[in-house]
Amino acid sequence: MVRPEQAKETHPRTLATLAWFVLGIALCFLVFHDPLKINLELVLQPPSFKFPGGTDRLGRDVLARASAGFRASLGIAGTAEIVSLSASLIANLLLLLLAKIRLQALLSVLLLAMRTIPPFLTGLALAALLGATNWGLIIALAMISFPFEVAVIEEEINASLEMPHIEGAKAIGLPFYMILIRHVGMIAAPRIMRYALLDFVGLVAFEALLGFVGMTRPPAPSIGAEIYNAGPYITIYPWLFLVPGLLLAVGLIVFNAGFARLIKRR
Amino acid sequence: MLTYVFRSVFVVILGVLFSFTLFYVLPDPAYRVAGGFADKATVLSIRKNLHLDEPIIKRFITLVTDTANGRLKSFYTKRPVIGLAIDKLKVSLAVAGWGLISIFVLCILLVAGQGISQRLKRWVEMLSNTAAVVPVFISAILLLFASTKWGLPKDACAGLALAIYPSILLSSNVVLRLEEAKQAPHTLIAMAFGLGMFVMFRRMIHELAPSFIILSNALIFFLIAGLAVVEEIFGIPGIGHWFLQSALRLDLPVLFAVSVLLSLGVVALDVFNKIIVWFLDPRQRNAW
Repeated sequence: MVRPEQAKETHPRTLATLAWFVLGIALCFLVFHDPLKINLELVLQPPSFKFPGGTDRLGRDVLARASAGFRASLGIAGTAEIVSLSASLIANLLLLLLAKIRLQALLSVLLLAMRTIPPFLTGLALAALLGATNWGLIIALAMISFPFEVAVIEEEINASLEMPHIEGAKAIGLPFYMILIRHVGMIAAPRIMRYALLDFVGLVAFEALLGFVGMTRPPAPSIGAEIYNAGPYITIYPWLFLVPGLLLAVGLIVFNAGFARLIKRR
Repeated sequence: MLTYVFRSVFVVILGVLFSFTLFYVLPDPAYRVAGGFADKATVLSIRKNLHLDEPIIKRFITLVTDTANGRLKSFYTKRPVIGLAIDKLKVSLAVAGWGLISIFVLCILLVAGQGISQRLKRWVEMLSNTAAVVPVFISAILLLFASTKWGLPKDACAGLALAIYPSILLSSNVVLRLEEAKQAPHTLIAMAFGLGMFVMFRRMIHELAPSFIILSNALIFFLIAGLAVVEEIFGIPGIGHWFLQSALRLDLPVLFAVSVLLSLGVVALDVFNKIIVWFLDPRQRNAW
């Protein structure tokens, strides 16, 4: 039973965590105008009441494009994180199965070899080879995350398997799959989720980086591409850079802080 | 020790195989290099040029021997990749040097600042948790603006842009390790005996150095990615800019050679780190 003083303590924290996420989601919906609509009569307008983020060289709303681009980044990074997490779980199951026949080292060395190539380079090369489609970017981002996620999950599973009650469960002859689902899964899942949530925010930043280096499909808005295109005009039309730049920085910090608070509470 | 060396060699071989599979086997590169509207003859000529018409094993052996002999040539410039890489590396070393100096200076300032202000400590902790969340390109563009406006040296500004995240991460790690070292039972006992400074110094070396070296593996990945972005923004024709352009143009020999070289470099760094840790931390010697 929760005592009233405890309730008083936890309530504001829950609200604060919720506030981070509300703010983060709000940043994805600052689309007051169509981000693709070209209006040559309103070219390079500074921020005003009608266009809070100003307009770009084609008269498009900068804030709407940045916000839509950030939303797209979240979607792509989220899907990539799910793909990478699923693949990592499957790889770990394979590792456990191979451990039974003492061939675990083979797969584990292969995963180690994958980790020797810098993830950004793998992701960039893969995105270039697969093309800047949504699925191309998702696979590239998943490949960035996968080798490291496998290692984290492996570490968590191994740490869980060494716990005394798991040893006890093995000793009384509980089937391995039962130990894995009922005990190891219950211990490792929250820790894996903790890593996955923070990794997701990192992938959003990577997605923006891929957009920045040209992995985009114009005219679809991409926050990285918006920042890249604004670079040369930073002194003359600063809002072109500041609006998407700040939105991306604030968005990433907000989501990261929200997830960090959520994890801390658990 | 011998097992570790064998394992490292095996990792390098698998790394090379992984790069080969990634660039030459999984997607058919000829179509991607040719672009969407190329005719069949162009695609065929690209396949021949990239040796894609040969059997996979022969292709792999040719590629590896060409890379090892320094004969592998860029698809576009027709110059040997190794020679190009050395030329570009010379340019990048200046930026990386400025980056290392900036990391060192910023790290000292941040550690000192965190000792004075608890608020700064909380901020640094939060920022270090954000895993390079504020992308390097935002700080790089702002520094490019500063460099153009006030005539600051380009290399120094690029190095500073590169150094912001690593210095936050490192300083946060130093403060954490120092706090751990201060609270360790044998440090407290030694301090009670009046051996404070000496024991603290030894403890710091034992605790900090190995963790820094391990952290350097993560930082090297960040620096490589950061170098590509920073050089692109500042227009510095270094190895990062070259790799980025090669990736965008799908210059596969360059991508393969650079991946293999980096893979070798990372494994060599790991071996070097292990040796340093072996010397600095006697507790780690059993791990061999």
